[in-house]
Amino acid sequence: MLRSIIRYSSALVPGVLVKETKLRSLSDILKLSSNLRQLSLSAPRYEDEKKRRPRRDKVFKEETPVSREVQEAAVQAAKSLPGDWTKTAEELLARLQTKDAESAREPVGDEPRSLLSTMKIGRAFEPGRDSERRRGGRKGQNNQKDDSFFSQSIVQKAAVDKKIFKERRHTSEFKDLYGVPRLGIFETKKEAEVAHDDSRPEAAEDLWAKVEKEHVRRLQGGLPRNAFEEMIRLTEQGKVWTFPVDNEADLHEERKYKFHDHVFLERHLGEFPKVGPIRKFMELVTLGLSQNPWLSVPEKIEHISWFAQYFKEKQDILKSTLGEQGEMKNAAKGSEQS
Amino acid sequence: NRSPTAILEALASTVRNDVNQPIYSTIDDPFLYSTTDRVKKAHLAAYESGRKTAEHMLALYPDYFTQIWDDPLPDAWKKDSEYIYAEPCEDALNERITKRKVVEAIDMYRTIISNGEPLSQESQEKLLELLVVFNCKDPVEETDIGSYINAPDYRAFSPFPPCTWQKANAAEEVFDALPEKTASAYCQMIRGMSANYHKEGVLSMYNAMKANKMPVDVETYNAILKVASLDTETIDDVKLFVETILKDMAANNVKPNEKTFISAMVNLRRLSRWSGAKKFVLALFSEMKACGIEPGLSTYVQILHIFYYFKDRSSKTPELLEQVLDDLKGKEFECKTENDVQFFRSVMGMIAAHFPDSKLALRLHELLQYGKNRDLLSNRQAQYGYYSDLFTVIIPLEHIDVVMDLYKEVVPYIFFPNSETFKLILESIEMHEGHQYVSQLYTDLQWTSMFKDFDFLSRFTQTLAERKHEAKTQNELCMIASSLMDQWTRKQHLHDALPVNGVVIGNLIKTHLNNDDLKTAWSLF
Repeated sequence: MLRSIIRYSSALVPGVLVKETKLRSLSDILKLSSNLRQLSLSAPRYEDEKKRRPRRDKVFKEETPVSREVQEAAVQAAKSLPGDWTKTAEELLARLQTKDAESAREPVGDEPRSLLSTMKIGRAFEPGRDSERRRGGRKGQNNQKDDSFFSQSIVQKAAVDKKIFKERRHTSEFKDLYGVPRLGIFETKKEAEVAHDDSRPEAAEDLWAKVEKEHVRRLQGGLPRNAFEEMIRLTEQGKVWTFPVDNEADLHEERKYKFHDHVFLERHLGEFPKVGPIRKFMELVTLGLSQNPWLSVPEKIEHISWFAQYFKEKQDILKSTLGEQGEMKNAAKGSEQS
Repeated sequence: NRSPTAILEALASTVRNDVNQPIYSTIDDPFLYSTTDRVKKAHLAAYESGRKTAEHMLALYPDYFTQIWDDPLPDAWKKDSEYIYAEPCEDALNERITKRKVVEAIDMYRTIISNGEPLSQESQEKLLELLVVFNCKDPVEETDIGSYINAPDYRAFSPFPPCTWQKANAAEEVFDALPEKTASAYCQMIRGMSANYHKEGVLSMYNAMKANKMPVDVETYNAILKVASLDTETIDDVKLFVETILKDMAANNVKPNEKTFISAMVNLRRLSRWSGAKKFVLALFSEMKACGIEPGLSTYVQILHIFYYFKDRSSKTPELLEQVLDDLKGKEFECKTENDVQFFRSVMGMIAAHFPDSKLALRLHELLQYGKNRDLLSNRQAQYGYYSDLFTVIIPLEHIDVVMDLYKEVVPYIFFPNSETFKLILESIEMHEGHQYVSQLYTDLQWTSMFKDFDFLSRFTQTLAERKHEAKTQNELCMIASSLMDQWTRKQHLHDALPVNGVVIGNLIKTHLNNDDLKTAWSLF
């Protein structure tokens, strides 16, 4: 039961939560575990980091081996719990080794402080931390673990230092965005004087610029977020009239014809007799058509030719009743019969 | 003289765009609201395929869709395949060029040449331009929805993009047949070849231009710079190439623009792991500043990618990133180049991968919310990646109130977290005792079937049962508990019931006990 509680709570809080009644004699472990519990509030991130950056952890593990006191305390705690004590001891030690260096160095013998003072809210990542961790801690802080640090072999420490130095040489050079001097190819004074204007108008009309613009628009991949944006897209596709509404939108056919093509339609009456009732009728037809704003010129001409066709069919009746005035001529369009 | 959409754009600018609302096209029907990424993709793909099917039907059975009105259809509704000029002549060629029908333009050109008719220099140059822009193939049309759903193509940033320019294709044919090889014709060829990563062609054309002392414009120089890194062995080769071209520019008094430096930096981005890349890119950046060119998002994207590529495992320091954020603070951007689109998504990815610091992430988010910068993050994948990284970084480190403010802004319609993120939120709630937010989470979780997963359900009920709360919160939690039980009892015998077992019921009992509601607790038992 206890083991399941430990496992269950350690899934969320990788510290050791043990029943108090059993551990009054091991006050060290209790305080250590309470400190661990406080630490583990940001645990998930460390778990992730562990998975993603095993290399760093290896370096870290070399530097801070667990001190003898803690080892003994862990073994005692493990022995007091039911089950295989060697396994529990290993688990405890593993947890201790992977915790943060600074917090682990919190003096073990102190009073358990309040949650707030040990918890790190906000900026959990400090840029100098990596290098500090490698060097083994801040200079001048009271290190409870000094003995363990110095117990490391000198060779190991030198190896770690070399690594730090190499990495710092590469990354620390380029911390400043403006740190590296310029290439010195362009003359700055000259560039500043010359005006901007020449390149812009060409760029706007260039096919490259247009295609690039559409490509970027597509990469951005935004759907219209409101009705106005939808209408903008439809307008650009040409499916919706532009605002303000243009009277002459979609009138490209009509632009070919001027007003005199609409009004002076008499020249299309070449096929009809020059005098008589048919002529009168057709003049009235042309009068009506010239006042009609809805038909296009070809449509008007079509009207007239329909009449011509009709009268030609009824030619025999017309000739018999009207005589010369009923005779349709086979003249070409626009020609005046003499 | 206003553009046709000026008024609409002015009206659109008055509308708030950062409201947590469903996708506009689905706003009329609540059934179509889409929340999780998967659902969004499915819904919009269905929308799109419906439209395509309709077009297909129109094409298959045109007789059933006859037009019954007298006026001719406006061009937008007409099918594109009708041309005014069908006979081979120069006007026909120009028409096909303006309509961007590449293959048919090539055919028309070949017919005209074989007929022996003369073509003006202008038409030939226009044809050449068309061919190099589209690499002698018809352009692929992608609709709005397609571009929202599909991931953008980042092939240009791979280290050694393959050459897609075919030798002796139509463009070269047209170029060779040009009566007078003007500078602009050469420039077009260079730009086309560079867009298809054909470095030898670019160099041979450029040398020809230099030999004939032709003026080269700035866009062509930019194109030449883009291929600098191909077929090189070290950064020094690239450096030499770039510096030579820049010196040529300076010698010919061609003013560089931002794109010049971006093109140069893109090469370094492709080879960001090679030594010397970082130093050179910062040198280029200083040069750019010295020329008085204001760096935009694209420039910073290149620099940041070189320094903080998120698959790179070595250690990084955030000073450079912080400087970049400081520079960009309080500026509004619009999307001008394809690199701008990547900015927010990549930088958030970098923050999440290298220094998961919530303060940096929140600064970036602030930049996103300034003015119209939100437009830069409109692609579905970019949004999803950005917000999931943002939440992963922020939840463990910030107070629950901050997290839930951000949550309310975005969930459920703009971004929907996955179950891991929800578990993190639950942990954060337990730590900061923000149980008043659990009901909000429960409402949002109804959009998904996450409760069908036993781990998740037990985790959730554990949060419900954790401790005794004040009356109001406790009542809410009890209501959630009862509704979960209702859901289970209703579907108890069906196969897709909630996986309720001892642990879950135990937690629910505890919840009710916390509310001093013995009756319900006993009934659960």
